Amino acid sequence: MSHPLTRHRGAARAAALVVAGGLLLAGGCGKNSGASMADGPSPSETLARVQTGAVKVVAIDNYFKDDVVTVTAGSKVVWTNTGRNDHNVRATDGGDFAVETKDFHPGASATVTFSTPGTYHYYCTIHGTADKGMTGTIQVVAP
Amino acid sequence: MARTPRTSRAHWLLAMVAAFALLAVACGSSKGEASSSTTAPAGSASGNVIKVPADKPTIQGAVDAAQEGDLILISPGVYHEAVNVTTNYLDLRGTDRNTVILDGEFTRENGVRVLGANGVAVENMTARNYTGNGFFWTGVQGYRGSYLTSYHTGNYGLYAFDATKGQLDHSYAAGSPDAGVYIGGCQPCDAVISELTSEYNGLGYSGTNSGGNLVIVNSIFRHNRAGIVPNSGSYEPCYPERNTTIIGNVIYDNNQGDSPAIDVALLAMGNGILVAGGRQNDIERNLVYNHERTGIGLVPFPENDANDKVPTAEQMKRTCAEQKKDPTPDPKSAGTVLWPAADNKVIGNVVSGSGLADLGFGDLSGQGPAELGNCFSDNTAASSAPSNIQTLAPCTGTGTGDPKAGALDLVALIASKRPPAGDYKAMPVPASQPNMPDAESAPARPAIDVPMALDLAAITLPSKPTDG
Repeated sequence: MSHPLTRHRGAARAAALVVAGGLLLAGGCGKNSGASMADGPSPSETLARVQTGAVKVVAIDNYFKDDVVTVTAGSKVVWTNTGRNDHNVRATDGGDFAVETKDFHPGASATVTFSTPGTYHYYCTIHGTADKGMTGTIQVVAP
Repeated sequence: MARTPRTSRAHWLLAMVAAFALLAVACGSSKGEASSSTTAPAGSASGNVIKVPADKPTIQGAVDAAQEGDLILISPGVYHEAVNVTTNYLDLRGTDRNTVILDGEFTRENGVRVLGANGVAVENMTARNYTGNGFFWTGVQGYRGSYLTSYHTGNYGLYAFDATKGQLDHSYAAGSPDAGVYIGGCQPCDAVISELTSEYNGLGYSGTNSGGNLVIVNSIFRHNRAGIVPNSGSYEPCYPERNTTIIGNVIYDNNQGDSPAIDVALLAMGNGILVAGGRQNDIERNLVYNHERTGIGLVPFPENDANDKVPTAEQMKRTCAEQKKDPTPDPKSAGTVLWPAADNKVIGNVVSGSGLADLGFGDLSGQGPAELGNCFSDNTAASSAPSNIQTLAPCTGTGTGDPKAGALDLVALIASKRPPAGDYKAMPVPASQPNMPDAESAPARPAIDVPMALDLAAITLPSKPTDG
């Protein structure tokens, strides 16, 4: 089965799977979907500037500097750890994208391609929970 | 006397209610709604006590069952848990500090992590063998850690990040590569560290970008790589560090070459109090002795691949929350940024036995201490770098002298080799530590009355410890 997301963890892992994202759109909106998707963006989320291509999200100690970003479907989100602590990225509600701590030491970058429109909440398990602390949101809109 | 059926039914109902109430009291773990008042101020103790393991077998189970204002009273035992707290105004308390032990077995991250829950107090227990931190508060307003012991932790012992209105007191932290105690990412912090001992860490205290009514008093920092190190850097929010007050502490023998250490601790080794790129700090009436480099040093912090530049004076007046709204600079775009030590006051300290200088100032841009607004007065010290630093940069009047005479050679110091980091798991196990008074009987005290009020002017120079 295809997944709506593609991971590129670090420069050494640049090669990645291409995603057939539309396949899981309906499932992705459900509570038990692989990706973490809410019903819709909050008002503040919808105000975020729509970006495309490779979109940077900076993680410093201990929060995501760009905690809400809006990208077009097919865009890559590049998390970069510019702090001095380890961090990670874990999709809320058991979604199926993640950046593991071992791949996200200080100085590391990790890339995920978001192909399916929706709202993807995530957090750092070291410095947050699903809704508190070091959290972030990727809002994916149709191109 | 015969009763009417209606009266009998009413009495039966009353009896049932009374029985339930009694049962609730006897069990000690019910929520006791009758004692809760909807008009009580936020954070008031509820009067409810949940005992571990009597009522709940695990601390996490008790926390999950608790409501605001509850006391979780933990009996002696070794608890293999990593406790997450997300309920406001709880008080987690061990009945015995030395035998109520959270053990991470080097596989769990934090002993107790308080995340976004305001007013949570943690008291009278030990956390050991965690890969991250012993006790960790983050994203909270109101916190207190009292009579805590933490050792063998992979980052920090006591750790408050993005947390304001707090207090860490009567606690002990050892065996952390970063710092025994850390307060960071807050401006203003409104926090007090008091009567704490920190040893065998990378840094005894570290505070990155913290400050603003942040006070460190009456504490002991010894046998670390470096003692107290307020520091600045754009890898955390709220930069730069500023407005920390350090008064009445004993700081000695911070040259511990076999202690665990992150890179900053290696760089800072051999200094008692080292302000690394911090500003507007008050360092007064501390007893500082036996350091390989400086007793009290003010130095810049060179940050390679910085995320951002040094804010302007006007930008520094903003709170951390205001600064966080700034647009994100491109990562590493600022190159190497030099965070200067500026506008610091060093007054009335007694400093001795330093290898390079009892009082030191260094700068990589060629400026002298007074040019950057730093001053030194009324200190008892045998040596300084640059020479005669209290004449060169007094806190009152105009200084005289050559800031280059006898100046610290920072380039050589930065380049010099330091002993490699030791294993945090191998640091000494602490002796028993004093217990909180009346731990079993004192009512819950959520962290709503923090930080404690302090009369800073009344704090005098401490005496040398009998074992120091």
